[in-house]
Amino acid sequence: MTGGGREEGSAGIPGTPQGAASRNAVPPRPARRHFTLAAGATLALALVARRRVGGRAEGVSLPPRRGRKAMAIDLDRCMGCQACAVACKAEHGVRLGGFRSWVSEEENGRFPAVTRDFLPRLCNHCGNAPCLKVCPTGATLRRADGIVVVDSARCIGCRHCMAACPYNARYFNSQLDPGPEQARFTARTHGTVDKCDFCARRTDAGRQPACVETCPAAARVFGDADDPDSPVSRLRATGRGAGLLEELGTQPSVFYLGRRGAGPPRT
Amino acid sequence: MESEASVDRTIESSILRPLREPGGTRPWRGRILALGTAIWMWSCARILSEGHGLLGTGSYGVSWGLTVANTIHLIGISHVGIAVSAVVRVLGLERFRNAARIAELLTLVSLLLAVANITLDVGRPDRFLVNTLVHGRWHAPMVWSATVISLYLVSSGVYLYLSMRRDLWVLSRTELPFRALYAALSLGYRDTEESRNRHDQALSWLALALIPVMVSVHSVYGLFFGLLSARPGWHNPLQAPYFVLGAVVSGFSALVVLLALLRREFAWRELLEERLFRVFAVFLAFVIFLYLYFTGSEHLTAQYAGPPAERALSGLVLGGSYAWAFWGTMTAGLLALIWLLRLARRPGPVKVGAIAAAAALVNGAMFAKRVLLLLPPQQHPALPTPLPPGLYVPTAVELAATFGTYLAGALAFLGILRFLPAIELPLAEPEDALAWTGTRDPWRRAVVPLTIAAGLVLVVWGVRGREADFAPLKWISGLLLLALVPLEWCLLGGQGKPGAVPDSSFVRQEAEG
Repeated sequence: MTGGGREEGSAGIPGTPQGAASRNAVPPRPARRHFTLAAGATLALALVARRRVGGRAEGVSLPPRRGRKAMAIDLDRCMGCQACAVACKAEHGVRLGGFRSWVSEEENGRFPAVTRDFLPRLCNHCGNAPCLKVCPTGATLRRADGIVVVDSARCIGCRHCMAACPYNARYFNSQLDPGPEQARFTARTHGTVDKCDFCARRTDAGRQPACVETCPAAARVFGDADDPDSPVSRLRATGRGAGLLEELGTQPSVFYLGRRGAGPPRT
Repeated sequence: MESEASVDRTIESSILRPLREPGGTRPWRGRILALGTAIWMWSCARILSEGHGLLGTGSYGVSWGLTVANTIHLIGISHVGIAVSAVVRVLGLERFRNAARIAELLTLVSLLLAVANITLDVGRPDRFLVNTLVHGRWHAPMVWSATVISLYLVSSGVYLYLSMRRDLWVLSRTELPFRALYAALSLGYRDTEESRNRHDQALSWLALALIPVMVSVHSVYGLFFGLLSARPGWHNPLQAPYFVLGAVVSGFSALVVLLALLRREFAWRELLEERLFRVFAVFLAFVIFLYLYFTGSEHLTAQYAGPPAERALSGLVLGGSYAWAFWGTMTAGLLALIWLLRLARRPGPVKVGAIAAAAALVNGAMFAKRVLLLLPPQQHPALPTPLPPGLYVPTAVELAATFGTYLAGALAFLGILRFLPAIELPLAEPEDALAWTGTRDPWRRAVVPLTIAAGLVLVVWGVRGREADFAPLKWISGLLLLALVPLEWCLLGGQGKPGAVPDSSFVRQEAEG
């Protein structure tokens, strides 16, 4: 219901397989004409449906950038202030009870050798994303720059992606329309699932994600993983980093520089 | 001959009792069910209009709750129609014939209610069907499920209709209030030998073709969970056959309860014989045993050699916070198994009521097992969540929407029973001896091959262009066209105009005697 006008956008995202495919989707007329009553009605229905729901949401149809985006998080720098979580909520209008980015806290070890550890979390923008595989409508898609985004105009809210995501990076907008002043946030579209998109609108404009920009300890570093001179690539090249739950084969784009060189925590 | 005919007439009048005496002996039952259905519809309407905030589910912890468990349960029950029909048609076990139509009606009602439950569960019911059909991605289990459920729904409907077409024709010649409607619904049926053979043949092939469809429906629901590597407790290659087996258990137990209720309500003691229940009891005990075996195998593997997360989750189910529910369910299943075997082996008259009670116990235990499958993996994710998962407590609206489904189903069933014969009417001699020798009308002869061609073209078109938009719509409509082939084949053959000079393609034979 929100963003009704937003649904009529371009017919796909240029540069993604989905976008290219939807341009070719107008079906040719079948050769046999005698039986076409049923098939014709189906096609007519399909064409009507295409006009109605063919578009993509505005936030998703941004121009793709080359180079896979990645984030490095230095666990030795994080102090658990949750400024990233607050900045993210403010940036995207994330609803109460939902988080695109946050810091997990946990106590490790046994008395007296106990530590309180912080683990900044967000969507891992997996190269082999489990959420993308199970999404029935293509609402979850990967852009050419590796950012996994949710098209809130296409999501049906089945929540299979939430069940599939090992990082609990997704939340569900169960509340109805939050009101006109919040409606500009696609992250609030009711009945749909939402998650971190590496602040695609900011980063497409050459800025840093809100969580990176706000982090007082500079624990988060965002950049182009394909550019060997970018800060994020240089951190990766140190060999100190690893992703969370990499054993699941998800190929996360977020990697953690371990505590005191010990590698990322295994929770 | 005469005595046979009079027996047939007695059977026929017994079958038609629910149609002749609308209201029955206890009209208050219908009213209670109507009230329950109204509450169900009201709670569904509230969820649809006020959003999923009304439910006890959330973003962290349980996001698939009771409505999903209910969907799985109803889909499971829906397997039974084609299972019984296949036994009758493919294996030729005629003694189950009288249970077949009741099973098929149960299939249709539960399948429709399952679809209602899925629709209720998704966050955007307004986009659900269109987006799945238009933008559906071939690699998503949800799209597989849309494909096989549409196919199953339509072909089960075709099966039910074809097996009932003659009965509709018989009803159109009675004094029943809706006889004009029955005549219209029978779509020009002519009761000739050839027509009966044609329907029998079509039904046998359809039953055979429907078995893999039925298996795939339940497998896909298993794959919804089995394919998620992120969730210990779900990620399991056993999941698809596990779900098929669970469907057999819940479907047959629901059917036994329903048969026992109908037998009592309409005094169908001769039509639904005692030995039928004896066989069902043994079969149900056998599949319960298989299900317990699967469960044991699952937990043995997890405990003995499972990955740490898998073992921890299995430990929670076996001896942690879910232990009481798990062991309660297992005990109920085991007790029902022993009880059913004792009832089946007991000499003397079969205690139908007790068998139905045991079956009801099994059905309830299966529902609990579905909930037990859903909750633990969601409440114990691999990594910490921003907010603690918390306890899942279904709200009153959620409970009404879940369990009200069964009241609505019962009401729908009562309504169907008032209108359609639940048991096949006995076959009299075909009185109309029109022999059909095939139509010469090229257009009519071409309909079936053209439908097959169109169906195949659509399926191939959709599958080849599976990355494109509209691909699921193409292959699903292709499959549905193929599902309509038996219907066309029966409708186009064996028609004629009574009393009129037959078309050149019909040759009137002299009726014997």
